Amino acid sequence: MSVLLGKLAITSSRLIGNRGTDIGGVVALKVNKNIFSKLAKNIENIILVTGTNGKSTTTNVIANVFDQLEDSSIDNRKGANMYTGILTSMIENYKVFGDNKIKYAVFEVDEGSVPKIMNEIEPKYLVVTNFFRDQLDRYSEMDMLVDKIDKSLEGKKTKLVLNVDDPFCMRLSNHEYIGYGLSSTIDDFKEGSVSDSRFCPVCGEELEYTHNFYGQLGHYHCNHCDFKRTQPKYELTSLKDNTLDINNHLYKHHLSGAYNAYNILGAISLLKELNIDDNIIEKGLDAYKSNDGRMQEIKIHGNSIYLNLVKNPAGMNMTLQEAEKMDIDNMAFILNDAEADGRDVSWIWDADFEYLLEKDIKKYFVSGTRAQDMALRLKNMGVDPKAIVVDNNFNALIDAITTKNALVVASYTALNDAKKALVAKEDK
Amino acid sequence: MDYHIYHMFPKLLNLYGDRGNILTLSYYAKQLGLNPIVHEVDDVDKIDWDNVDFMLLGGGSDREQALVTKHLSKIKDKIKEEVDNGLPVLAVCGGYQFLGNYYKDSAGNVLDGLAVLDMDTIGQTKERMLGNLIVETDKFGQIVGFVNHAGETFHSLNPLGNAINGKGNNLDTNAEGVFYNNLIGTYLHGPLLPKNPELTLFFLEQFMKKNNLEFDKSKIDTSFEQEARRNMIEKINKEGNK
Repeated sequence: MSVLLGKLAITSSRLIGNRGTDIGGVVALKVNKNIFSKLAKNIENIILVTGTNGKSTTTNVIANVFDQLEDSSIDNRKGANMYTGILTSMIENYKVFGDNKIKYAVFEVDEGSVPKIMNEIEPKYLVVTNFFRDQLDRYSEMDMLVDKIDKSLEGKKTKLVLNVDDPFCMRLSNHEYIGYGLSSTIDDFKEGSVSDSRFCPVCGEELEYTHNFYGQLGHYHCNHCDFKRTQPKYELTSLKDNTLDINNHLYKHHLSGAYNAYNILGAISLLKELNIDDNIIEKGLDAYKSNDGRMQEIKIHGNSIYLNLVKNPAGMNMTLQEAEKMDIDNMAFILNDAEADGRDVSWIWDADFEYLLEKDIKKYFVSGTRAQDMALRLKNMGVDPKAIVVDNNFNALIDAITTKNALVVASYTALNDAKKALVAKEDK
Repeated sequence: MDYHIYHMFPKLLNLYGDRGNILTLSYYAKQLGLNPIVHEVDDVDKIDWDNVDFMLLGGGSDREQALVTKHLSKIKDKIKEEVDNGLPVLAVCGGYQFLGNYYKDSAGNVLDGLAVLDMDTIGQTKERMLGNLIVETDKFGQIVGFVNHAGETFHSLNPLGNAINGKGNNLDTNAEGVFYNNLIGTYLHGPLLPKNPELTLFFLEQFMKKNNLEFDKSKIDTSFEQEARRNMIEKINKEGNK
């Protein structure tokens, strides 16, 4: 009954033009508060993917591989990533008449929602990509977040798939886990100009790094206690030419961005643990091209327009490193300061926009509610003010941006509108 | 002419985009024909005190702030002497708090400050002072920034200005920050200097004067800055400091 009402709510919400990614769950819960765990029981293998950056892409890769299987699978690729969003995905996939046994489910989960979900179900696997500070969260807030996830795993049989290159992820290594990481041969990342402060989660002393990929990701150890990175079961030894070498097997993919190597590596590690064949994994990778504003390519007037979501300095740095390698003439930034973006935008001064100075960018377009802050960031690093075009309304800039190949970087609340506006102009 | 900018413990005090203050100061210095040199200090013994033209103390989390204070306490008398002699200093949030006598956290633990200025800070859990803020100052006009603190600072020194849409140094006052000789202490970040060119120009003016150089403000086009400030003031007037 609760499922039916949930389905009805999703449909009605969509009929009136909403996305309806949460409403079904909200309604169903009102009728049956155990609905989440009840629906989850139909699923043989539940996989949750969480972390600050990369969880959408990791989830997408896994879901695209599941698509290649004959077994039934569900996911929240289209949906929201908090408790009710995941519940809504399960309701949508529920067949009122028929067999509801599902082999695989992969859900992207907001970091803060992991404890609530763990409280109700026991997933087979939890993939943890990384923990970066979003905007200006104090580290203590992130400490608390990881502690809560840690506690919610107590007494569960859930196996973790951890990025061992991130000391924050490794704080969860007291649970059963398998690790993934990059080998010391990887040199595709540039060193950032301001390093995050990187402290041992056990004793609080500064960690020492023999290799640093980006942010706090690297090969680290503590000189004051025995906390250190462990050798991962799945190790990436090369990522050149859109081909990942993982444990001596080559995987081709279509995602740009060196940082995406981590996401694909995490996904493949999980898939290998599920004993899924390499040829199926390869098919899934081949089938996946970004369509969710994560380095999504949109062709307009024959030009390549790339759209990417950026939420924090670590993500911005990865995007800017990528921009440097791309064949683009124009750059656009849409910076909003709504609650979900972070009202304090001072983090833009921590990101290394200076990478762009090594590139011949013809025009910079800045937009969003804090366009003027972004314009200042660019001007004060030495961009010619005449090359900076400011308009708080992104739509007013689209025609000018798309006259050349361009990269459009959007903050969280700017992404969907930007995507809609660009896709509306996409070449047919 | 070289212009020596000292950025104190940037790896630890990096919470509020304070690098933006350094970038902005360097950018303006270049427009004035100076050669800015940024010293990222992580060892206080390496400070060449004869050549410090500007010092920035940023904000960090409590853990990092405590670590930095340990280092800085070794030179607290020297900092006080330099500040009394007119060294231009910008101290933001945690950096501002630690210029005082002490910081008492909400649990009652007392962390000694640098005692450069006679002020005290007390942590509380009632209300966090959070959001975009406009501060009206006598010397610099309206300045804008973002505040995010629970510590309340008390002093009877000259404040930087008066917050017009929120609280200042503590829950009982609109008086915000401190302005002492050429030192500016404040809870405002954002970071502070990019959107408040009058402050950046003030610090540079002190340097030019001290070295008998002509200070020609008109070399610096601040139209982007004025636009950014206008955007913020408009936004705050519309939305309050939410």
